[in-house]
Amino acid sequence: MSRTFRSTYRPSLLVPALAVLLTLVLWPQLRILAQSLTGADGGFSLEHYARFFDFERPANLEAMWNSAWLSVVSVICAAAIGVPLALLVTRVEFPLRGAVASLAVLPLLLPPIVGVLAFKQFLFGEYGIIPRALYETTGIEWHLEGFAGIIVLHAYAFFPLFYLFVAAGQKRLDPALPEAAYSLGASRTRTMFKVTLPLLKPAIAGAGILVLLNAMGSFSGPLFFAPTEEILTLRIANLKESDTAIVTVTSTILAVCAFLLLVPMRRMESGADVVSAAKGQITPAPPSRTIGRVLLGVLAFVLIVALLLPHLSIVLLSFASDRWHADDVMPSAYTLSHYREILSTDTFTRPLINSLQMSSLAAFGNVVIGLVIAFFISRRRQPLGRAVELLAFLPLALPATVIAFNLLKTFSEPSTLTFGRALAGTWLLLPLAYFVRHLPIAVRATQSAIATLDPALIDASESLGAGRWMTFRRVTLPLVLPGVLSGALLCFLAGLSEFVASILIYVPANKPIAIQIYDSFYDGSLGVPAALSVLLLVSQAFIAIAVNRFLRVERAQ
Amino acid sequence: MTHVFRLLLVTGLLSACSKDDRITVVVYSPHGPDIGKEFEKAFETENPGVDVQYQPLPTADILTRVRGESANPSCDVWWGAPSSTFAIAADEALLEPYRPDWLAHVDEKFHDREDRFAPHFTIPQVIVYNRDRRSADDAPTSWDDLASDAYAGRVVMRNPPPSGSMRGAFSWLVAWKAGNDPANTKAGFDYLRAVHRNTKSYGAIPKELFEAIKRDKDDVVGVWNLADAIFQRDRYEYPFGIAIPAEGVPVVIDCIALVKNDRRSPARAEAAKKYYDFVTSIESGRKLMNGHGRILIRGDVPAEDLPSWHAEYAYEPLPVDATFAATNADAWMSEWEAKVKPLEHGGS
Repeated sequence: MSRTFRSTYRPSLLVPALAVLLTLVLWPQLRILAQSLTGADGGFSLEHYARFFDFERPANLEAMWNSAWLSVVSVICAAAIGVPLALLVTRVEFPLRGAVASLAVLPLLLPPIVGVLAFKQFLFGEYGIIPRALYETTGIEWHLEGFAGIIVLHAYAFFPLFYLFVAAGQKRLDPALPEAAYSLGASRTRTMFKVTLPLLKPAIAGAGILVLLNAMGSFSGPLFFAPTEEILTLRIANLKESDTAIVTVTSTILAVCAFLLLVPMRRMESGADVVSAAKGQITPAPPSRTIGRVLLGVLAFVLIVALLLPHLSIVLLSFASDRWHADDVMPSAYTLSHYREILSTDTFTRPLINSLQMSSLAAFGNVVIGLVIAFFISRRRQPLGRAVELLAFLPLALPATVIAFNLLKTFSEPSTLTFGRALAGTWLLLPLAYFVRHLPIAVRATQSAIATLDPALIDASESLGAGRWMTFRRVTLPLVLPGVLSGALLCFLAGLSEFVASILIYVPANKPIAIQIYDSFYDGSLGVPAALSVLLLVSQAFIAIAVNRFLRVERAQ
Repeated sequence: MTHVFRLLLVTGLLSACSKDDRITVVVYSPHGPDIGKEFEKAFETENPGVDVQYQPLPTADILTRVRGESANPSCDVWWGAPSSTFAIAADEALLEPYRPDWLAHVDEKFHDREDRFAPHFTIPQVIVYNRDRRSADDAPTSWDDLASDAYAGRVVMRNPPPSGSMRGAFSWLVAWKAGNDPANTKAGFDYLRAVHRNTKSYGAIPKELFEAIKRDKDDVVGVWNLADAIFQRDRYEYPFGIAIPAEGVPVVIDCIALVKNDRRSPARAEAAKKYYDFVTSIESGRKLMNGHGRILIRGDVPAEDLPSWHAEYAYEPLPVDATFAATNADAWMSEWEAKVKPLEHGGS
């Protein structure tokens, strides 16, 4: 990290980037903070906080308590799946290992609204396929609902974060250390708990905080599984107009918690780099006994089916007639009518085009601003660089509901920051929310691209007489571009899936595809939202493959 | 680099290809997409220069949106909400006064004094059961049944706060139990508390209520509006039986209004009024009554236009002062959320 890019850094670019960061990320937070501290008479007051912490009407406190313990339990469950899986996949050779390794990230790519539909309505809810099948075959009455449903959904959706962090941590781990412990007589278990896991602590903790933040900000799970329970994100959505003052307090409290978690997370992530001095890598070894191999193979198969279950159920339901019989376990009739219905009108194309437009606009902004910020951060380690970095990563920690609410309230009146116009109710506010939500993805992608950059190339360019701008355009940019563009792709795909901020601030003119899925389900159909989900997933896969091919061609050139 | 630019070009083209120079009329409505699509198409055929964008939303969400968008209103016509919800919006100056001609045929007591919204349908709230699992003789006969031990764990409901139907139903039931006496609302809440104790589940969306009545092993009954119950039964083959308590039913007065927007172009304002007049005309009313279970509130509907089921499901309104129920509907829903909802329920 001592190598810097002084020569290619242009401070003039930072000014607009910082202005955007301050206007869209910091300013809304500060405004909401100020509003939460403004009393009915317009002066400073803690009255809304007093109301929030009122033990006579405990709904807010109950919501805070529920959100907190739900998030902690979600972290534990996600870790219980993700950590052992990562250890297994990186250390042991077993049948289907490659498939498990690549499919384990699948839940991250499932749009939240599609995930919750699959879990609640198609698979595990009271009238879902699995409880029905269970009842028909064994007579056992079981289904997922309420808090348990949220936790299972979170475990599925978030375990890949543990998996990815720990697998990456393993790669950086010096295999000599556990080997030394083992050869000095420690048992395998003892080595695991006394050496390997402690070395992986930064990776596990980093993933843990990220999952905690994600679980705290989760909205679609609570919306479907526990609509009548008190949960902070639901309260923000429900009370955003009727009791704005309480929502500003809720929003501020969530933002402060998020910020307090963000600081140690960033520190842990940079701390993780220190371990990377290791030589060599752990290679997976086959288990010593055949029975172990067979058992692991069976486990892997079960796991793959479980990972694919939501996707399979969506495909199945998209072809199923909506007229189920009361006792049907599986659909009794199949049809193409849902696809025909969707493709014959603009119910799919219009929201999809809206989503494509907004996501590409937001991703474009993310790349440009992310590039400038990442270069700035990479150059400076002093307080200003750190402050900018924290600011750029703040949206990662903020629940999407909070981001959306704060933007909505901040820009609901004309202000000089928005050239004298109110943005609430306009087409533009939602892409701005996408931009804010996904900025950390772009910054991080650019940061890792910069980290692999060889400063010697830049020195060479400059010593051969190229100017700063020429060097940036002809040397630096082409070298970081593939990394930057994969970041752009991630931002873009995340925009296509976005539901939580969307439901708070979309307007008919920019209704995104995720909202169309929700609406068509709300309207009473199962097949139409399933078919829409299939088409969304296919579009996303198509775009991802196309962009990756672009990048490969680009690299080859 | 050329590939990258080509990619950007494609995105740019995509952004440009959705231009449409028709006048847009945005409609927010809880009446569902079938009504939405049918009348969108019919209106656009008659008025090719207008693009109707019908946005199906729950009643409470519409109020939230219209409030939040007041600086840049998206919505032109707000089609469907109980008068109690419209009264709130009207008091916040979110609606534009408009007096359609046909209002002369509607009983004065349903009018808004400044014509900021107009009554359109009467929507009775009834008890829905599964006719495949129980006969009509076995169906509930009174609202009191829902609060009785016999129905412990066998009531299902739509999560009430976002739902216009449930707000209407609750407010009438409280007013009825209170005997229209503001000092006696405790009796109303005792009733709601007993029903809550018996309630097995609250559905996040109406569909969950319908699925429960159709599929639940415990043979549950639910509260829903007659119009949609009939519509869902016909459209998705739900085995719904309809029970109409003898003491009467809550009747939601469903209204329609123009949303206030000082910056709306005259052409768009014109088109919005045209759409308003179109969907409230007697011709559209005929379709709404026969195809969608809605009953017009205006008194000049010829008897032969009424749907066949109208006689079959004849009902009396509960002996309730509609104004008393409507003005308190919101406060009572908040009270229910704060005091009743947190209590144990499920009936077991």
